[in-house]
Amino acid sequence: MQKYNPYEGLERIKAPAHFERDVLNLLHQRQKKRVRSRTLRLSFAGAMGAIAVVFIVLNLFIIPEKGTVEFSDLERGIPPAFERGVTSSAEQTIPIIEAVDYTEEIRRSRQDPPTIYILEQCSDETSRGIKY
Amino acid sequence: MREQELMSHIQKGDEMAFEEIMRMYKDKIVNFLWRLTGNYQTAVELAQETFMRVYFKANKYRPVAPLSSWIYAIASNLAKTELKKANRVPVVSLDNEVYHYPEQRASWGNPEKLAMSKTLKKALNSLHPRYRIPVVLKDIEGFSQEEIAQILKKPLGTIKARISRGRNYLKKELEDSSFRLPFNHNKEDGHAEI
Repeated sequence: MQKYNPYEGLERIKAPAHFERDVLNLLHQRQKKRVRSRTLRLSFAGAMGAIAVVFIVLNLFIIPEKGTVEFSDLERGIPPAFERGVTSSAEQTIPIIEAVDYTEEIRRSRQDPPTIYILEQCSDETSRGIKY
Repeated sequence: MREQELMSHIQKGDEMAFEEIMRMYKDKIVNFLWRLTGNYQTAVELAQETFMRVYFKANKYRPVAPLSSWIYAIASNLAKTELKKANRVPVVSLDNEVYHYPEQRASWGNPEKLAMSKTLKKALNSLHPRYRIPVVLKDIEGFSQEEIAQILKKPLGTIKARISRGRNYLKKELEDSSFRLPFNHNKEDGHAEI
């Protein structure tokens, strides 16, 4: 019985003559490219880091923090605190939150006898200074 | 052992060791890729890329498997990507093909066998890569089914099924052509025989 591998008849091909040389050339090109891209990546990372540091330094130490603008001051024509040169540390606002139970207040007011105020003009002069 | 030593040298950036590995595998890899892609130029380019990866990914190589399995795994992955990219199953017309590649040895002297070899090649090229890759690795490159499972990162059962389906397809193709030769599979060594 004749026995052979049918694939044996298939021709086998060779790599081109200068295969190793071509691969090594390609390898050197890739190495250069990798070094260049690594340098570029590091430079970019460094530049971004430097920008971040400059931003932080400017914000913390060089540019003063602007204070709050109060409407009451604006109405009176007083410029905001940061324009007056008042540092923010001098004007730190401390928020105080106090819980007030109004129900008790209302109850208490109901228990009190009702008060009637009779307002009567005592003088003929116009009540310029009197405020009710 | 020698291959492991060469790989450890490549890991240190030794280009001489890399050249040595290339000399050992270049023909096999080009041939393997040519079988898969059906185009000599593409096969050479993919082989170059395979060796590039061998060099740059040398640190990822672990000597738990033979080096050949690792190199073939890289090559088959590249071939699969290339075939997907081309989105086609290449069918090479042997009648019109210009043979500009160096052949390692002449085919069969017998014209009938030569014609059968051409038909087999045609059938191989028309086979889907899913089946072609395991069949080529098994029947042409001579890897064991376990090694192929390792190379293609598929379960052993899947590989066995794919090889069997691929061989059945080839058998049918050969039978459909003028070659009505008995085509059996040797159960013991898994090789196809006539």
